[in-house]
Amino acid sequence: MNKEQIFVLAYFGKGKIVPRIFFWKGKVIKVEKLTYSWKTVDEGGIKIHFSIISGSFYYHLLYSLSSSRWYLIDVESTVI
Amino acid sequence: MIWWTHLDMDSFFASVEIASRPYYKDSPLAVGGNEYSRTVVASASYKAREYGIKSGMPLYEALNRCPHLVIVNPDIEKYISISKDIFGLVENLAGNILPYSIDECFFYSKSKDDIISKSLYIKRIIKEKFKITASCGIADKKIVAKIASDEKKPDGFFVVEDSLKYIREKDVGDVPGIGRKLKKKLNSLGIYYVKQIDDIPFTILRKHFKQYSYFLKEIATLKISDNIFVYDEVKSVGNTHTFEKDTFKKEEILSYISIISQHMEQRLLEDFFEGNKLTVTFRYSNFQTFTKQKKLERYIYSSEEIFDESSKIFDSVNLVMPLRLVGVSLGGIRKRGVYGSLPFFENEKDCRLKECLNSIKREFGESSIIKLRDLYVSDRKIKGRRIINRTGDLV
Repeated sequence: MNKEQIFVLAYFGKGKIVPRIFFWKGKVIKVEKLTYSWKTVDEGGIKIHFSIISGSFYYHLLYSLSSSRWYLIDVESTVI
Repeated sequence: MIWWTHLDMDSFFASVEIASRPYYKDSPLAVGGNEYSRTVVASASYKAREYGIKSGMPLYEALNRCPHLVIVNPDIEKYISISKDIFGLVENLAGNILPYSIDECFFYSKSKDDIISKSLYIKRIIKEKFKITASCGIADKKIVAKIASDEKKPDGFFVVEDSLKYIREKDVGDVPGIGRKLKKKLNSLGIYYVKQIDDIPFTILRKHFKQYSYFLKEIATLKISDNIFVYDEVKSVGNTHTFEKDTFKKEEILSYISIISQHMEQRLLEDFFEGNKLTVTFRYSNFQTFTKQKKLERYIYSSEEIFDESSKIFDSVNLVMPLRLVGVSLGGIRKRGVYGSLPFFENEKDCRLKECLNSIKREFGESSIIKLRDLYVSDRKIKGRRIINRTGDLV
């Protein structure tokens, strides 16, 4: 999927950024488990990636430090 | 005495993906392209390895062995990021680090007890923080530490007390630096274990293995420098491309040769390299592979020169079957500028053109301006767009 800008409620503090809730396709999605996070750098600056599980879905979220915007990168079902 | 640890992350790419997506924990997983592409397995989880799947295996073969294999597309930026974080952690905790690849590094200490405690601690922190496992091999020789890290994988820990005794009992194929071909040649002489290398007189080794005979002798006696893994001398710079579908089309093949040439130029410019041995590799649809090599009269590094020379080689080849893969590599590498002051570009006009192209790319993105000969490749990525090909016909 293409990256899609989304709104996220997140905790910023103690040198950490922790997404808590995000809004996508008219739904409120609660972050149940933050499984992984990593950093990448490109011409647009530092991006922080988050692997999240909520319900039976996996979400890949991205936060751009330079623009303070959140994006949804990928969604997949956790049901194998 | 210096003690070395070789730290090797277990099936790194696959482990990172399982850590991100824990619901795949019990499934066989491989990192690679999608099942319809013709890529190979970059990393296989230990569950996948139970089916005989390993790195470098074509994906279709992996799927034949395990039809329910989970395939995850590689995210190389993610792996680089995690690798940097892990290496940063190792450097902080061990006080030194010698990265060897994206998922392997060495560190050292003057005390055996110190290296053992540091290694165990680093392993534990990696597991806690990154949710992946790593294996450690410890020895007083770097090459032995590297072999030892494979001993108890995954999540292994192995200390070699007597390096010489240990390596002499090893199969020659276990030694880093002895590849498939060299192993086969050694086996054909009746050499299966490292200790057997000593049984062969050096003159015979020299006759069969030329300059490699010194390395073999050093391995067998372990009188080998620990610097062998520090500097990897670059012998060639190149790349290959596997076509989505086997092709006979000259424009398509040349387009990819052009793109490979541009990637090569980037690498050659970054490292101030130039070379004079150009090799073009062709692989037919039946996997039959052949190369054509040309020794150039001058050293080259620009994409234009690489493309021109590669095209000449390509023109001299009569393809009898569609191609599956094409590759270009430049050998005879040396540092540019060391052997006389060469202008950065051949002439001022070229220089201005390059600057102009680069500024457009910087402003509008890498694919905003492309060479006409690359249109074939670009067009395949932009579905349905009509373009004019190299000969001026509408495609």
